[in-house]
Amino acid sequence: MATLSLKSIASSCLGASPSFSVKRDVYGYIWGPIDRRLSLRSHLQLIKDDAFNLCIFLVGHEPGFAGWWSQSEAQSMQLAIDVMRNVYAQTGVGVRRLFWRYIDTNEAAGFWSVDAGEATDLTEAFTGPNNGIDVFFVKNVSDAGGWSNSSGPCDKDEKGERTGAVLELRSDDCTVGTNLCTGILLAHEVGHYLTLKHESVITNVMGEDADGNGIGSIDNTSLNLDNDQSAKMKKSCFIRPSC
Amino acid sequence: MSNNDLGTEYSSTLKNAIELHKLNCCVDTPTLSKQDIVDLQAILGGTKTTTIPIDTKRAIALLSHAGQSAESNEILGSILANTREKTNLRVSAAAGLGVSNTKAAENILLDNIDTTDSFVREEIIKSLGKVGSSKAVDILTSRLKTTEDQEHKLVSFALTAIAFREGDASSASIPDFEWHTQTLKSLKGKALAENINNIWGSSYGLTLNKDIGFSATCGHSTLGILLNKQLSRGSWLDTLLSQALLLGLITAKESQMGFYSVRYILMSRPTKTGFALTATKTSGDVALAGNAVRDGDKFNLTLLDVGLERIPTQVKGTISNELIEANIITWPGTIRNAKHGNPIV
Repeated sequence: MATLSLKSIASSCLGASPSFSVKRDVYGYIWGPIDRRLSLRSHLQLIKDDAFNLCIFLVGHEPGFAGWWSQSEAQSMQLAIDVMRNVYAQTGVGVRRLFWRYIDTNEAAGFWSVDAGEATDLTEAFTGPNNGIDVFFVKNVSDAGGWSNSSGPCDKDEKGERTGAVLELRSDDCTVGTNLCTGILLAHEVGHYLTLKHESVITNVMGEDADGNGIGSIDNTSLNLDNDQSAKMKKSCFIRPSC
Repeated sequence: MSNNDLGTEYSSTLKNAIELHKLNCCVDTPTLSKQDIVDLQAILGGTKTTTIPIDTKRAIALLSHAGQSAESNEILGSILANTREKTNLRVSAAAGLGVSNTKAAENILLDNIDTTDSFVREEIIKSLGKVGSSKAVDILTSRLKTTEDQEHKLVSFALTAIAFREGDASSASIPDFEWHTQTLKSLKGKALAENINNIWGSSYGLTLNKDIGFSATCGHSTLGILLNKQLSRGSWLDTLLSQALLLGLITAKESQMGFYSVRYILMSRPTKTGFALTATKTSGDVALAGNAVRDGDKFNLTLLDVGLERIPTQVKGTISNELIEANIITWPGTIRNAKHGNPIV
């Protein structure tokens, strides 16, 4: 079994200084306790090779949770990312860095609840670091669970198209405590951004589109990805080089 | 009240569409049969229950899109009116009524417009913009006096949409912003020399023209538009049409300091119809781009910002061999958002 150096990977892949915290600086989990699904060894192996960065926007957040979000909701987002990491691990694709950002309630005015068009407006108005996929958590998506862009543009300053995934937190009681549903939805929407299309089986993260009408169904069993999907994701411009 | 099992009594389409642990991506509104709609109305209306959990928001969105009718409106209205209900469900119900093109939907929205939940209220106003009629005008107009910012904007837009829909365009409050125009001023003599002689850092290897330059104001700063010495009055066009050129620099005077920093580099290249022009930031990002097209013995110039500027900007003017005239035209309304949010550390 090959040796993995935590210090070396933390430094070269994540830019962490010597006195780093594993939870905060290596996993990027900043919102309180979490039972991580991936072992540290697995996580290091994944982020060292084919991996992408994620920029997570809390739309309408204020320091001290004085905005639209509570601490437990922020923890749910964190759990969703952990679910996504676990799902993508089967393809050998890691989620390397998490850039947490927020849009304050003043600037987020009009984005508490969004439809498809407003989701595009949101991603046009705000972008994170250009080497990560933007994910915007809004309080409500009125006409879907989330919106993304199939094969999203590599340059997120592109105008006129959706340059990130916009989604809501699914209901808390969707498999209580695991936030499986939001995690699968997140993996699904980011999967679209990484070029994946709907599939023909419900147990695939990209869902089942049995009648080919462009609508894919997912549920809490939609956890699988196959080798073809893995190969497609690894060709995306958002996959970072090994570090 | 019957107690049906969602797993056996309902169609697979309906089950798939409202079950808590399922989701359709990205459009979550499959086509329902008449019986599905009746069942969905019964479930949301509380006359039928299910033994497995459903996602009520999904069910509301589904009813809004697939089951438009008086019965559906009534159910959405009861959810909207229930102040003990979760905000996102009430918001979804209000959004759903905005899809329903009926008078009843408008009445329900108006009945609930005084809700104290601002997110629900804003969605109601948005929906009134979609389905409202003259009946909503007085109520919305009265709110103009008491609201501000986001809600005020939504009310104004709703009133405008209603006015157009009702064939009363004269009362539509179309935004009447006028673009702010300023004419480039000539810069010469001591002022020009001071600018050229006090550029901080590189001037990109250019020898600058000390006979003619231009100035403009941008917010609190004064911009200097300095030209390549290769461009001289009497032969401007000949030079621009014959070669690609570093045309000049746009500088800004640093406040409280005696020097000027380079903000943009002007570049041009000949085209079939005249010449193309860009103003590029020192990072290499193109900020303004456009062209000059022949019109008799002069060329008409148009430059548009490409989205990097926080204030939407365009430049229009004419260039002949003897004269350069141009206006900088800026949008006086809302400036573009800062684009990157705030880091959470």
